[in-house]
Amino acid sequence: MWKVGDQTLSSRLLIGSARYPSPEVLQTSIEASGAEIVTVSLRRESALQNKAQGDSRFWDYLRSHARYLLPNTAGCSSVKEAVLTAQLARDFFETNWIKLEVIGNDETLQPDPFATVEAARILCREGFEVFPYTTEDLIVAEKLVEAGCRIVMPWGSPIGSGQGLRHVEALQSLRAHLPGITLIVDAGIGRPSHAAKALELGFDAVLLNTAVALAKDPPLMASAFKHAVIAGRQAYEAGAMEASSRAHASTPSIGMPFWHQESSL
Amino acid sequence: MRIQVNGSSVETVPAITIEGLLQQLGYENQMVAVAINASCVPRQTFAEQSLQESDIIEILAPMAGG
Repeated sequence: MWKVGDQTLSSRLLIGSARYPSPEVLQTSIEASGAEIVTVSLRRESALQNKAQGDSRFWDYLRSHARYLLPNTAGCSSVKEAVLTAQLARDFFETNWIKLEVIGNDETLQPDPFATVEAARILCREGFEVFPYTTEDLIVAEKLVEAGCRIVMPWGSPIGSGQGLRHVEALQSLRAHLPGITLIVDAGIGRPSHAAKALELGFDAVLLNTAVALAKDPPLMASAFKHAVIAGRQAYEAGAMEASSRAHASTPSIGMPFWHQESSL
Repeated sequence: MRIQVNGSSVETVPAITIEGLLQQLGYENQMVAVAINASCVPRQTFAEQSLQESDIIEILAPMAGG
């Protein structure tokens, strides 16, 4: 069990709801993942009735089955847009949780750290539990904490890239410097081994979407991530051995049969 | 009167409420979030909140997200 905000959860996997081949696959994938937090978005609606109907199955399922919804501010590139989107999401989804995303570059999808910190300060003051999407930069993370965030979500690598953890040392430094903060690797996770690695480093959880949604068999991949996250966390708690540059025999050498002793004579 | 809804110009009766506008546009059975002139409008107030000429309205609906 672990705590995020004021809630106690058992799964350390947070999952996105986008890019699945169908609402049915989304549903079976979320169930297979064991995730208790599912991310959602709010977007401009078209008045066309058929579009509204197309989206309703996804929403009907999440509304009744997701334990916690985590709305995001995806697509926002300014403080003003992000704050307004967060306020609308709070009213609509009836939660004070917000995944704060303020994009600084449309091509790399890097977060704008200055706008993210400013928006986080406003939203924390308004009583939001802010989950800020940021880079692995320690100083930005510290500013987010100063702004009132209890959670920080550094990327592993760019959104949707599946490259895994690009800057492991920087992530380790974040973990070491922010021991009391909930740290969730968000973005860039492509494989279960990446997720396990993040948990082994002491990160509290991972948030991913594309790695499951674009797998050949999304529900099976969701299950793989579920187990990877459990394995990574157990490994962290168990305390891994130190790596060594030399070999060390793992079988004890005492009590070896006599012919070994003869050959050494 | 004329207002802007999601970037398009829409003609309505004067002082229409948000609830009335949602009905006019066919959203009456759908859950949406609404902003007027970049301010969030709480859902409980849709029936009372009336609009003015040239207001800029955003109607948002839940979407899949990462």
